[in-house]
Amino acid sequence: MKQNKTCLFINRRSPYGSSRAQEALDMAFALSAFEHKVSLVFMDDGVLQILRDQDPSEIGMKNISPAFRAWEDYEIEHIYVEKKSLDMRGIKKSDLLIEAEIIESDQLGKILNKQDFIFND
Amino acid sequence: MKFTIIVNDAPYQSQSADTACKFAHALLDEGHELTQVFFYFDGVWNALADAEPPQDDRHVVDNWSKLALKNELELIVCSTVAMRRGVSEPLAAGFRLDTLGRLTEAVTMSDRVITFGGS
Repeated sequence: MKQNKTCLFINRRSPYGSSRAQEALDMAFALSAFEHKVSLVFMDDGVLQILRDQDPSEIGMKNISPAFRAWEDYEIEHIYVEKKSLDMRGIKKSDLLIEAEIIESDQLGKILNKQDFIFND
Repeated sequence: MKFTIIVNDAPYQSQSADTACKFAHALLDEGHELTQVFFYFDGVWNALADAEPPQDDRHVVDNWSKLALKNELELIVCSTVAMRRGVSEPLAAGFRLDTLGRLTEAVTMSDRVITFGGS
């Protein structure tokens, strides 16, 4: 059996509407730390998680941006962002705090097909 | 085939926990193996020992406990997520707190990882 699984996290939720964005990231980090091959997709409101210059201090929430910068210490296979979700929200690639591969919606199927484990949030 | 199940929703909030438990029974009945059931997000509420639903409703927590005891299964509750929500031991029968590390081990040993709840 293949020991190091390909794992894809589909992040579709806004960063501070719940603690799910933070907790999904925690799980992705843990799998990556144990040598699984983790990739991330950001789509729908999930693209808001990787916006630059986040400051949720006024609503008493913990800023999740530093977690994404910590990605550089982990070996993440791919970070994908759906173009349609960016366009609908008027977000440009330069507004994002991490380097990401911008994908068309119809590329997603191929990406899903490569995974052993998909975590859809 | 070896399965890991992840439960992401609280009991009674949605049907996810019920469906996950039924899925677990079904795969065991078919002769598959269940490596672990892992409770994450609001799924950690499935482990509360004091849950007492009305008698004419199903008892989601008990259903998990029975599944675990009958099949000598591990019901792992993510400790970080549980602490954030004030869910602590003693938990219902069959459940225990552990880290995400246990999930990653289960993923390594499984052919399929199935998640319930969360969208």
